[in-house]
Amino acid sequence: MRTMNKMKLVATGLVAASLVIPLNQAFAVSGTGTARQVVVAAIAIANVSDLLFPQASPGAVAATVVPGATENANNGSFNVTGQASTAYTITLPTTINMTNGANTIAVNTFVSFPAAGANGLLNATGSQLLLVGATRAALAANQALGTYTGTYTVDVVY
Amino acid sequence: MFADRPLSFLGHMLAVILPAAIMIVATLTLVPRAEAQTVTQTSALTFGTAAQGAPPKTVAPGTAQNPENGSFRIDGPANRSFTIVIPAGSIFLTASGTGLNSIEVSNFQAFPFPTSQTTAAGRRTIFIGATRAALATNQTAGNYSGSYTIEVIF
Repeated sequence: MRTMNKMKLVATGLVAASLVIPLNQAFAVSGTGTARQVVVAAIAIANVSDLLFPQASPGAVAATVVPGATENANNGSFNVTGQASTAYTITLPTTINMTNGANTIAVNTFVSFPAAGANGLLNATGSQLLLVGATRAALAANQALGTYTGTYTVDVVY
Repeated sequence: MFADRPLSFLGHMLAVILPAAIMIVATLTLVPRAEAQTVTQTSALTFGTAAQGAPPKTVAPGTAQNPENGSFRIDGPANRSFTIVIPAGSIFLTASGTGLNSIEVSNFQAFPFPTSQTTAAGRRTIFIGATRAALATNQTAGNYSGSYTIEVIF
């Protein structure tokens, strides 16, 4: 009888021990998170009209075309398109040359409307007319006659 | 036989008392398992705003909360080591609308990783980063989101 009770106790102890062991078993917990991205329409710029300096004679003083606020016969213009109601930054060139064969005329002091910098704003339909003006350098007294052309680049970025 | 009874009685008493004592011990040991063990997002993994055609963008997990990395709070047993499991493959962010309206996110990273330990208060914060694939030039504009799961194994 005593032996039986001892065995009972030992058995009880073993059962208790087996209850404790699972407490150290590994267990996993998980949680869900969110990842986000906002995609906006790419910004694009297309030339609409050329920047046109009026006809001038050799020796003429420097001439400035202002960007103005609306399209006119002289200012350059661009159609900027992209995400509606989104701001963008405008970067203008500093100096370019118009050429006619080996002859050149410098163009500098580019100005735009809206002004260069973070001043662009696409409208509710995602577009804006960007106007450009600049200053054509004085013409040399012996400036070769002819038609001078050059290209300039306007950068737009959100 | 009669002389044996008191001992037998004691044996039975012990047999009743001991399991009760062991049950108390077991109950005390079970307490840690009764604590909250949760993985809770505290901030979303945010790739921000990008234009169609934008190159891939990687958000690093970093070592502290910032506006971009995802973060999770781990609540578990105190001072307990655990292993962190992050998505091994890709997930896809989606947007409403038509056309190309999914973006792949892959290369998940975590800090700390792959193991960490809870504080004396039973907590730890994990930071998550990943790489968002390049956006197609005809990617549908809009707000994209997707979900991913972080698992911790104690």
